[in-house]
Amino acid sequence: MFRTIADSIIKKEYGGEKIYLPRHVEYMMPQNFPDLEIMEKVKINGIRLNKNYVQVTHAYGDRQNQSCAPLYQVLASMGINMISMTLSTIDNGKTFVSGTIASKYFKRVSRQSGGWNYHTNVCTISIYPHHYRLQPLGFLLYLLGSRRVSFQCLISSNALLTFIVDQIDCDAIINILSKNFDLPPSHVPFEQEENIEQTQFLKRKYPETRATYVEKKIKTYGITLVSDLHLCSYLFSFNQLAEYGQKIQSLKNKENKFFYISAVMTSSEQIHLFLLTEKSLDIPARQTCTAELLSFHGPHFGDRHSIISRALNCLSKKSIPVLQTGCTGASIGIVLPEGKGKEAKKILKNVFEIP
Amino acid sequence: MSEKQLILVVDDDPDLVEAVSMKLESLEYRVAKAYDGEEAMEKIKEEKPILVILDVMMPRKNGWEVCDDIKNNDTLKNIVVVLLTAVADSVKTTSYTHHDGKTTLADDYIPKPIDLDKLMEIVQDHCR
Repeated sequence: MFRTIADSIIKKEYGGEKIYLPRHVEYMMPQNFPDLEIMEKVKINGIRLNKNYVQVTHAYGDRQNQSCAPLYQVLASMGINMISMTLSTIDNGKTFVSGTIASKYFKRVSRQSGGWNYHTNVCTISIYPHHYRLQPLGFLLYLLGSRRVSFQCLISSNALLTFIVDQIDCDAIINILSKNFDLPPSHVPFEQEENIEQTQFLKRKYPETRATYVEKKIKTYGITLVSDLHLCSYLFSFNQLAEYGQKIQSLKNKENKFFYISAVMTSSEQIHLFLLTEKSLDIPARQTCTAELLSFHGPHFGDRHSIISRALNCLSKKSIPVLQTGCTGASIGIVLPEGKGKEAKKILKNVFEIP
Repeated sequence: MSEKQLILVVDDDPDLVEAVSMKLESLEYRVAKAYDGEEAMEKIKEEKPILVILDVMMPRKNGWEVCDDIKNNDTLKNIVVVLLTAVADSVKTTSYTHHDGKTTLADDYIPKPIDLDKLMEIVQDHCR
């Protein structure tokens, strides 16, 4: 049986905002799930870890927060980068944005904003590459659910599956991932460490790094549009995550690909999950629609602010509705209603440089 | 039937590694992948690729250092190195002095953001 050591989320006030402190969870195997050691291991190339972050969430579009500027716009105006972000339209036009910022910005952000929630001391963990296969995705969800790894968000890019967890649990989670995924023998989880002195030295000395901060038009590797996709939305409790992961893994159509996933966990441990696949899934969904995906990434998207804000603002100005947005690593994915992709791509081409 | 040529793609951005790898595989190359300089050197020694597509700014060991290690090693120096750089305008030649006076001698370079078709042309030229 699993048990949590401190099961309830502790809240305290900081500058009028809610702060969720980390829960300490003991990872044990619930008896009603198959032993992972007898399941076939899924091959990946690496695990990446980023520490010392704060998860900022903002829901708007309801009466309470109708006049608030979206989180990504405010952070962009403050020159603060988000290393990952997810934007989802959850219920009746209410939009939920969650972004991950470095801990060093926490005090500054909490002074200037209103109506945001903060989850301090988090880290991001990514596995890669997923090759658009449902198997690694299903296995990861199964692993997170069966081992009671409570996460705030889960986001994909073309290669990465990233999730945000309490930092106190990261060693245990890395251990679980290393043990259960098939990794190259030489692999060590890569931890991105920021050495401020070295970064400043490099920026002064090498144009390679300095160039990224002076380019007028943000460079991309190109913008990709994928059409005829199926967007499914699910709402279930965290207790059902392992079962959902198993269902994904046991789908009959093994050739079906996924192009995007985002999942957010509410404070009541409900998971809102959005999955964009090539073909429709056999798993009954709360809502389904046809959709298109615009994805793009650039040489320094991971360490520069305001990129997502520019992309979403220019689409908003032209009244292009956005269903989902997620960014992790150096990639951005924007899910649009069917038929809007070409127009959106044309708009983005004016804002971003493509080869 | 001739064996497929092996290309090593090295970049700390997994999304870029995937994009380049998929393109190379569509052109019938075999692809090995590395995500930092040290992992790249391990793969180079182990798998002896015909060509390395090498990012410059990477953790653990940067691209200039990896390029130095390849070109100063008698058994590896014939491996073609194509550098990916964000400042190609300032790189007048592929033989240039950088990184605390070390001379890096790459065989070719391509500016970031890379044009995948152009990169494939470079790869195909060197792999003939």
